[in-house]
Amino acid sequence: MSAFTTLDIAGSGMHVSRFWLDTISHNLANVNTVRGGNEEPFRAQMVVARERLATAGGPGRGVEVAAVMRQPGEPTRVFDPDHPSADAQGYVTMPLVDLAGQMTDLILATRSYQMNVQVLQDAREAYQTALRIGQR
Amino acid sequence: MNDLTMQAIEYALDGLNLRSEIISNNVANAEVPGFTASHVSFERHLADALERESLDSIAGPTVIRKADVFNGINEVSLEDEMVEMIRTGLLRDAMVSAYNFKTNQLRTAMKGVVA
Repeated sequence: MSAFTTLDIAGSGMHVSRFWLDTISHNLANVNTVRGGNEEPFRAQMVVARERLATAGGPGRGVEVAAVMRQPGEPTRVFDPDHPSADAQGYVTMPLVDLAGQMTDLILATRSYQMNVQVLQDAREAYQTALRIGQR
Repeated sequence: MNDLTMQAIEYALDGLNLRSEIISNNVANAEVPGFTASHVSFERHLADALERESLDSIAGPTVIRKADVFNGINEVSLEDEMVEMIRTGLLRDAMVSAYNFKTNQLRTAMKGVVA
């Protein structure tokens, strides 16, 4: 517990949103990462957020990254015998990245970051108003 | 004139100034590989000194290296630094308000009763 708690809460939101943006960026960068036919494919990273609770009652203390999961599902194996990573049968494993999903997540993560910055700015204004109470 | 309140506010303002400098340094070095962010701690010293009701033998603000955040390049989290910067600014505003309050009280006392 410290003074100006809203700043910490908004900061934790910014932190998680940035973490989310980083994983989306990583997933999109690996959208062409092809592995060999019998290898484990690249699976998109998914951020699991968890709320930070206050010790007793009162409002929460923001959010934190609980875990980074990998996209589940069966990978697609494509016949491409000229590919340098192809296995003996000529197959490669395509990455498991849902491109449309990642693009919508990108919008959500960006908005989430902006939202937390807005809260931070508004909280600062509110605190500054509080500090002017009783001034002449 | 130089009573405990004034001393405490001056000490806090010194600590907050140092904190601003350290935050600026952290942000300036945000792209430097291997750089570790630092933070300034002085509230505990101040609270202990106020408990003793004397700031005569108070230790200066301490600069501690952070190691809990990791952004892949070095140990600076830009978000944390921005939040700290805003908090430091607000605390400085609060300290300046307290200082003005105190000087106004002294001024009132000096004026005495106006007939």
